[in-house]
Amino acid sequence: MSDEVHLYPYLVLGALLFTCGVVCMATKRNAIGILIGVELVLNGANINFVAFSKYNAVFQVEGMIFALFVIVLAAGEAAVALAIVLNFYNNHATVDVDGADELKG
Amino acid sequence: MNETLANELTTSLSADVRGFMPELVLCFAIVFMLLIRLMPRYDRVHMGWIALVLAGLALTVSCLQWRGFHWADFPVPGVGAYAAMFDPRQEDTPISISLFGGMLVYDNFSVFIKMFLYAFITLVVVLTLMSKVPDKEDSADFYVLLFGSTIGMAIMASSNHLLMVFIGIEMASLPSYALAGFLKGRRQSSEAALKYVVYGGGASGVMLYGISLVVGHVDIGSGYLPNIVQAIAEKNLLGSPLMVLGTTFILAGIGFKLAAFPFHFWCPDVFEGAAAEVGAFLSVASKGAALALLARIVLGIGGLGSNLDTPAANQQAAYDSWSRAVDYLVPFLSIFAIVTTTFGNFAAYSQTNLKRLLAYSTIAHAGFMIMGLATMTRDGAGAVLFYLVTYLFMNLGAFAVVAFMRNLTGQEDLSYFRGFVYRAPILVITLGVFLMSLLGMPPFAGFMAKFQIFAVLFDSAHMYEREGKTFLSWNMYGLVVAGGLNTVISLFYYVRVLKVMALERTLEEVESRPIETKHVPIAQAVYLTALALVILVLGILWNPLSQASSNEEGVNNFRAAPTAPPVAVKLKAGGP
Amino acid sequence: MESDLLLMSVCIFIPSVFALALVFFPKGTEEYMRWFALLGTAVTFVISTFVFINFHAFLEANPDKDAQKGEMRRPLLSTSLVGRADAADKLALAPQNEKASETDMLARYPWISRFNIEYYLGVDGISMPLILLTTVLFFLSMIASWGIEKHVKGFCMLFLILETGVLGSFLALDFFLFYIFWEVMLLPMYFLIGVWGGPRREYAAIKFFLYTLFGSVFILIAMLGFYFTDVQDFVHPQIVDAKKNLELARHPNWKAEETAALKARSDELLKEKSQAAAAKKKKLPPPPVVKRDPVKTANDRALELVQVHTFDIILLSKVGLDAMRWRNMELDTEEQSKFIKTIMDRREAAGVPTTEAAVRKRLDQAFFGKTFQWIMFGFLFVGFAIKIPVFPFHTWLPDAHVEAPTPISMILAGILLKLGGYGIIRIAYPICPWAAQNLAWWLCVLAMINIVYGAFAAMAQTDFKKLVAYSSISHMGYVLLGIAVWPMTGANYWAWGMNGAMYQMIAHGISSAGMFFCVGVIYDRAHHRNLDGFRGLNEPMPLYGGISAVIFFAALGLPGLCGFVGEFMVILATWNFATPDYPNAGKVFAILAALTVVITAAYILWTMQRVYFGTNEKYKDFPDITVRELLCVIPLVILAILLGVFPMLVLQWMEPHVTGLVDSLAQMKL
Repeated sequence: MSDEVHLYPYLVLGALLFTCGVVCMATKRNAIGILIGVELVLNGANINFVAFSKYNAVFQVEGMIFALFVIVLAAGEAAVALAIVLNFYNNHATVDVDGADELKG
Repeated sequence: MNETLANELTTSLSADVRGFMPELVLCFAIVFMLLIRLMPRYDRVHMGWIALVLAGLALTVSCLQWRGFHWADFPVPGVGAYAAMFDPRQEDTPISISLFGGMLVYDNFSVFIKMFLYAFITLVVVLTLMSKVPDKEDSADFYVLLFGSTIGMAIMASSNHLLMVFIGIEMASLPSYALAGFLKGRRQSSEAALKYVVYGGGASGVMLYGISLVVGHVDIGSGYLPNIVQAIAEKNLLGSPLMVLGTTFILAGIGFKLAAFPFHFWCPDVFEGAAAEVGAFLSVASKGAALALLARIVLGIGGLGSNLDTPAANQQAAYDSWSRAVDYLVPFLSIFAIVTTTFGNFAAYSQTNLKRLLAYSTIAHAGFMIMGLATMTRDGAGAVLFYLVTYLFMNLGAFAVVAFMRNLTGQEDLSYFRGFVYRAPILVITLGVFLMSLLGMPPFAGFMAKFQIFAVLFDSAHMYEREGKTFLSWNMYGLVVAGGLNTVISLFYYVRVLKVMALERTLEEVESRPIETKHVPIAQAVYLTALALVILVLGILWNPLSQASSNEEGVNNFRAAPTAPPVAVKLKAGGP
Repeated sequence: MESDLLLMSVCIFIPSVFALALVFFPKGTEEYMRWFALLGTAVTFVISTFVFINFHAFLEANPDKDAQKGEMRRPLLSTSLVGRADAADKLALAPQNEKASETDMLARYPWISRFNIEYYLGVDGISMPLILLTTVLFFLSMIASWGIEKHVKGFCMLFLILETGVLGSFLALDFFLFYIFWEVMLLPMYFLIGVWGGPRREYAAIKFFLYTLFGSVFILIAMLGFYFTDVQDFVHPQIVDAKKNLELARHPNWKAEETAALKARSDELLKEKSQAAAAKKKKLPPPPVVKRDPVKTANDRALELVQVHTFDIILLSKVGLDAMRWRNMELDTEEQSKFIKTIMDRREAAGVPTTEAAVRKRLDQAFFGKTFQWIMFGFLFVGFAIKIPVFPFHTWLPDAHVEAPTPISMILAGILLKLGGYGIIRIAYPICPWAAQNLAWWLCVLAMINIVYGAFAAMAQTDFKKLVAYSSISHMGYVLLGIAVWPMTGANYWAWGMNGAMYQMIAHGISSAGMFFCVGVIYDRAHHRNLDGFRGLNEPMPLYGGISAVIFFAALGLPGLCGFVGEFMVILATWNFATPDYPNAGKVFAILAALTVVITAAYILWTMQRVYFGTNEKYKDFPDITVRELLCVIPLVILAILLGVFPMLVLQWMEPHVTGLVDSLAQMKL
């Protein structure tokens, strides 16, 4: 390909992932599905970081460092969240968030 | 370039470590508490006392940092020398150095907030020791999570870079998700933790996206807060839709931490499901750290951070950027504040579960504190700091009473506590003190805090009028009226708790049985009385605290500019 | 600390000390608790008499030397709070730094320097009788509370804390301090009504709390509005000087910049001069003279930043008066320039000069404008009117009075209502006189509604306590009427009105406390308050009947008893009230008020007939009034008669200050 890919397609991809993630978080009933949505959002932001890092000379190193840290933190968050979902399952025998209704709205 | 970066990082390392010392003490505490259980002899020791000692140590170090320059000639050798390592400040120049290459900022504001946080967790550890919530097996986990969350909050409060903001928020939130679900066997606890983690994950994801938009903007290209602020000021970026979106997402993330409307949905459920001690911790510490972060970001965008020493040539530009930022941020924050407070007060009205009621009261108070920030002045931030300190004692006391009551009776529902004053008078009397202070009745400290917020609102109204912004001035007067009305509204539910506990007749009285008094352990009574006394004393002698948190001491001086400018490392073209 | 500050502080806080000591009484020593609390109120009473003796001695030491021979020697108006405050300031700021006078019963101590809040206490003729009334009534109510059986410790503690709050409100001269003591009263009252009251006590208690807190928020907003006015033209210039020095110390570089700027300016001028000389030599036209503003000195820059804010009620009254003066000079530019020049001269003399433009800018502040005065007076009035209570904020009173136990009803009617009137006289009127004068007609109308409505409502009651409650509303209407009759045209009898209002407050305190006590005596025996259920109580209880008669006649306003003096003075003043729109308003009001006395007499006499006269088999065995009850009510009877026959006992040291206040306000023409 002779034409270089510009910045905006990457941003659109990031936005797409972000929107998918938000929709996933809002509509999924399965708790793990919601966590997948969270991961999608975080990765959408990551794509943004990496894209900005490539196309903005001042931001090169910083963007990559951002992305690395976000990956680590997302992993940590997924670990804690899954542990909590497991605990919830132990208590309620379901991962359906509609089952979490004992505390009034 | 790499050399200079490496050079710069290593030469300042000793200063950085010294500045980061309180957090390092907590890190050491975490490692110690985890490792000591490897030894079979200490497998079953309750970690509470160790946690208390180490939290106290962190508090001491933090206090030394705060008063560093005054303690330079402390008679005990070593202390003075240690304290003097922190730059002695001249009368008018506040301390402000950046740590770790500009990642964290160390100025009076952050040191004050950190001191507040460490004092608070020391008191929370005392509370957990008395209410025996984490039992021996789980105690190490509990305190490790507590301290980890605190370190995250300390990072939040002193962050100078958006990455650190994100890391701080995540580090503060993840342990608190686990803390919310700590009572593993209780169904409500697991439900609360699930709701918390789902909301929290979503909020932090959205916030990260906002950070990515802000940071990558073509004119900014950096995560350093002072650089961002400067770029916004010079190039009027607040008009750009991408920037507005990014900033809104970031504020949404912070709003989640603050439990401000409409990001508050997790708050009542988590407080009801989690243990009362965890509720105490979350309600004060995470709110305090979130407010500190909000203050830093909002006041920074408002241009207060970077134009302290602006040369005269740039002052007009700085004033213009302040003017634009204020026109946008003040109404936004005011609406945020009013909606949060009013919602919290109205929703609390129908609650019967004590912890849920306190959760909504927490939301209302967060709204009050946002009012102080909505003034976009340094005095406003000072008033919020004062409010935070008084709020620490009031809220901690209220949650402590709920915890002790739960220990005595196993109940948390208000209707069970009818006429409780005849069964455990000390609990109800101290609860009365805490609730009246939360309401804002003199002579308790809560009134002084609300008074300062009102005073700062009035002051800024006059200031905006002088600057010619009459709309903002009326905005401030509207906040005053809203604040006053909300105080009256909150009267209902605070007094209702007292009414049920003190005025209504006990079930025993109705059925003509003798009233059995519950025995409250003396340690608990002393703890509660001490907290109540602090509130009373702070209400009468509030001058020192007011001075410490106000403008004169330069506490909230957002000199966020790092002393070491960020190094833009340019890789060779065609390189890796 | 000065001895007068110590004395007044002890007077305020001694009840709290006794309350704290009560914590350590173990369960089962109820009788000792009551005696201990009684001792506390007695000690407070004794200390308040010390305060009075000191105050009286101070007044005697400063008599009116210009009094004509044979005329009564009255205290000088310089003994008023304003005069004493000025003298104290002079002493404090004098170069020799003399110690403040310890006999003037006025003392201040810095408390919260960040907000310029001081611990500022003082008595004058307006607050002294109320303080004495407070301590007497608390003592007598403590005697009356021997009948309280449950949770005696809590009752006594809350009672004593309430006394601290009330005394503090009367003695405080700093608005913030006043506000704190005002709020301190709320919580003990809530519990006192809510725990020891009648069947609907929770409702009455929360209503009381809500109304009063609502009013307090208004007062708080007004207080802040006053605080944020820059009053540097009205304080002693030395204070401005001190602040200026503070600013200079904060910016040490300004001095250097000033020298540099001066040097640059002198260089410029030299250059100009040499250029002019050179041009002259060459016979060229001189270069144009550049007009330059004067160099800003460090002093000037510091003065620009200085702002003086205060919570001091006396200082705010001075500013309020000047605000009224300034408002009245609206169209008279010559008067305005004279006014401004006085301010500028005063400041110039002290070394903190200011420009006319700066003074004008400060006089343009909201405080000196009409809208602010209207709004702030409205807020203050609403806040205090809820306490008086004024229609339509009065609905808490019947419930609170009926449900409260007897001693608390005595306190509520005897003292707490007076706090509203005191607040209006001390704070609302002096600080916002312009609005007060313009609203006088409306205030009179509200007062008349109180009087007439209260009387008719009392007539319709069947509950004895509710009847007394509505009669309280009616009598407090006289108080508001006396305060409000500030005439705009015609003869000025307002001094009579104010003095009458003050006297009525004291008289009503005595008579209503007595009335509530009498009701309590019957209730203790018959366990109901239904007026139609009593008859013929004079037979089994003749002594009680006689005492009640005296108290009720005092409430009625029978000449010779205390209630008459106040009413008479108020009606006299009302007759002369006139506004430009309604020149005969005063006459109408006075006639109505006087006619209402007939209604008052009607319901009181009818009540006495229903309760005391006739015969009744049911209550034949009622014991007559006991010794304890006698001890409680006899002092009230004595006071009622004494104050009715010798009003000068109180008037001679109360009147000069009240009249002084009136004169300082009323000299302003509209």
